[in-house]
Amino acid sequence: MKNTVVLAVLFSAIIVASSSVVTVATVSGQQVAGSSATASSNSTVTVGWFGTSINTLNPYTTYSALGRWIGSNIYLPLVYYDAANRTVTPALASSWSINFANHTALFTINPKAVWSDGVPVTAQDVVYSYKLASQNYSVLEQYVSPVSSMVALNPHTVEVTMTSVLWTTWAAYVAVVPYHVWDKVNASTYPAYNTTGSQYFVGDGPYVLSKYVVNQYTEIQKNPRAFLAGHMPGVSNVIFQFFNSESSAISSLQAGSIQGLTGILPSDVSLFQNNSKFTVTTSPGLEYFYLAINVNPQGNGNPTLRNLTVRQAMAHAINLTYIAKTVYHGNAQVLDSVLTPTNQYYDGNLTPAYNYSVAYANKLLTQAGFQMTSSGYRENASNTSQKLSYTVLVPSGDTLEVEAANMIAQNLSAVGIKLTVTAETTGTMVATIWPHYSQDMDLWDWFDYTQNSPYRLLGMFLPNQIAAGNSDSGFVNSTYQQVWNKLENATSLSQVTNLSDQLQQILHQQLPYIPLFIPSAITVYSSQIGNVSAYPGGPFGGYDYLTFTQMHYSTAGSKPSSSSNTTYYVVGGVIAVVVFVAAAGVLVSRRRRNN
Amino acid sequence: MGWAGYLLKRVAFAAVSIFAIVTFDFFLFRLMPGNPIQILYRSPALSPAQITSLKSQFGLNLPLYQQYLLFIRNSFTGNFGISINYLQPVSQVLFPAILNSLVLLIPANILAILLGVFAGRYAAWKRGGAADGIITGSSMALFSIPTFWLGGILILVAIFTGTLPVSGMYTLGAAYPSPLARFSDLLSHLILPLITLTLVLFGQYAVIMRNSLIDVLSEDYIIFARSKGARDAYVMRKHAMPNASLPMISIIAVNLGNTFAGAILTEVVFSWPGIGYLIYESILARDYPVLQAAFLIVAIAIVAANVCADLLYSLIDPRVRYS
Repeated sequence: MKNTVVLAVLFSAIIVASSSVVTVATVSGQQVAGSSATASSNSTVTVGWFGTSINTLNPYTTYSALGRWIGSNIYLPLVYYDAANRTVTPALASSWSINFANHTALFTINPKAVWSDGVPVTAQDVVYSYKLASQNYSVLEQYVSPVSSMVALNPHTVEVTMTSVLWTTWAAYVAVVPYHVWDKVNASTYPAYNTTGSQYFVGDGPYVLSKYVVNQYTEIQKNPRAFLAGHMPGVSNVIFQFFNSESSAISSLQAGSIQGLTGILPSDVSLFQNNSKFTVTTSPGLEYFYLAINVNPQGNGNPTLRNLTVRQAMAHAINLTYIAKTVYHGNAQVLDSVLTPTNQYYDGNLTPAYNYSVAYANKLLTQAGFQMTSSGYRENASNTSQKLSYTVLVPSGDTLEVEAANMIAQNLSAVGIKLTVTAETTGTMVATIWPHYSQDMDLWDWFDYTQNSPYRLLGMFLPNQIAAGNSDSGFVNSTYQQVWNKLENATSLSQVTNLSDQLQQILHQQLPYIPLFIPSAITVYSSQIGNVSAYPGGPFGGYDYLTFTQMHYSTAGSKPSSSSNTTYYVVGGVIAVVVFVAAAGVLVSRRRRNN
Repeated sequence: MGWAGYLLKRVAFAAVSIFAIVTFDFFLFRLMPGNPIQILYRSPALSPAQITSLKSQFGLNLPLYQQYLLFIRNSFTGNFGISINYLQPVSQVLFPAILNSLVLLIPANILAILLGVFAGRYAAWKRGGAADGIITGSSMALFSIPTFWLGGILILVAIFTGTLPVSGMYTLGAAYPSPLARFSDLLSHLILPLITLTLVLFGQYAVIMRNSLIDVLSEDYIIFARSKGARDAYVMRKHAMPNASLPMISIIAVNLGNTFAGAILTEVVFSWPGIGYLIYESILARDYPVLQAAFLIVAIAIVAANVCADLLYSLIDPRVRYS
């Protein structure tokens, strides 16, 4: 028995020792990059983020919305595009003049512009940044492709020669970084552009980076040298905490660990409604869902989908209004274009209207030669091997998309089209679609975050996007290409609008995509947060550059604290248990020895 | 075969096992549908030339055998490459995650082993009684309960009572007046995932200990020891427990390695930034370099634990060495 007691004491000691060694090592060895500034707790707002986390804060290589969003708080572009009001406002450039006839632009940099380390922002920074953005590794390369040359006329003036009149696309999305800091980084090696580099701690936006811990969180703190009037920091610190799922983020919101979250599922809203601690808001969404139909001429999907009448019949057979109401609890808008309604170039007058009509869909299919068989599904009367039986791929991680796909399958069944829903990981979907186009359809989503440009989403239907692995419909259309070429060389903004409308009309009529719906961005945040904007995508959805400059945060009773009584009780409890076990062991041991 | 020979044989076998596992993993990850560039960089803004450029930056354009040879060569030098997802050296991403996992795994395993052994022993001793029923029943239940469900229940309780944090390792944005305060904060975040993992592991230890001990207690030498007049505690300690511990050593050794991978669910439920969470994210992103390195570490942990079990076995039961 004595040995058992000793063993118990020994094990207890091991527990405490090993936990302590590892935890102390972790406490002291956290990979915290950057400044050692302690987070100010009195106006720190922690925002939850689930989905794709950060790969890098490099504005030229990040693919994540969160990376772009954080970057937009650190680095200013030349101008801001306010998607809520469809206006262009000054950012780094205090004024500009555009000569559409000569395709030139002059930008004057705000004379007050200064980096967070005190160095003035100059035209050289702008030229250098656009050079980085135009490199092959840059995800902004296509945005800056209309910029044929950029010259610093003097320290405060930049002259741009451009091939396209749509200047706000690049001027509002290309971040300007400090040349005097970034030039010291070895730009020839891709890994140099990671997020732990010291270059990310100097910015000219309302905030600067203060901490980044891989897979855990990113923290920004107010830039003491922020200069742009109307864009000064609203709170002193903002923390972006990463979660791997909506449910874990919601748990943290309920527990008070985070103060704001966008992207709440409609079914979870009830958790926060009628609770005075939380405010629930909805904003226009930027993520839209579509049904891509494999129309690729060389594709290996069901060839009947290349028949336009079949696609039109499908568009009429799907009751989008009902699906949006059912799946999204009414928090979704039916979509009719591949651009979202808040996009400046969205065309809301596309024809024909694909009104829900089972009778008309049946009529179209019968006219196209597809007769109903005894199985309840249609086949080509002259070629019975051509059956209207398809498979639709859906990302398995999105339950709402899967539910919507199942409802679409029910709708199509009513007109004799068999649709099998296959929920797959995005990796499997990618491998099925590209390069052989082996799918029939896929139900997926895009984010329309370049709200002042038609290029990004309309460009996806070009043949070069087939090889790039972006065009899931495999759409090839010579007329579309010709109109696109005109769009790239448009000489006025009205011409851009007109040509964008034409492109949307072609897509609407040819139906490589059946646009489905655009869910509203549902946000829940602590009622202590005030002045939260309703920008498209939601205040914490990763697109609103104004969120943290406009908001205010009442900290009464909400101060993040590590030294609550609970934690001291916990430590005290652990120590008490160890002492108790040790004492009991010694007592029992002595008693045994005496016996 | 002598002790040194036996040791050499086990280590050589372990090295071959690790090499085989790593090779298998390398090709397995690439058999997963989809490539990381297309998954991560799905954007209409990217041209085919850029996609090709991104692939070449991560060596994904090389023939598979060349990628494999590079991986093997670099692994020997401790260079696991650059993470495709995080754009950082894999070691900078992986090792902090391992350290975070150890914070959770070490106490959870020790607690589960201790509780399991003592509960199993007590149940075996009180076989057929109420205590046995309670311990065996609860052990089977805990062994069967899905981790995410147990974690979810604990989270609900924590939210309802408002006592403990439910995610992460620290209170973000908190100012720590002292290292003790930071340590306390870590402990408070540790409690829920620790309880979850401990309970999940506890069940099987308790059941195996109980069953093993019941087998041993029915052996002739135990009856003989009792007939000699030896006290129950003495019989248990000197004769029953050492022999009943042999299966426990196996299961503990195997579990020590497996819990690295098995903690994935616990880490995901509580957003604990450990290796499980990292593997989960990396599988979704097809981040080959991180996956290769992570599974190499997991493979080494599992194989090393098995070697240790073999060696312990041979120490406890010398017949093993010569079989």
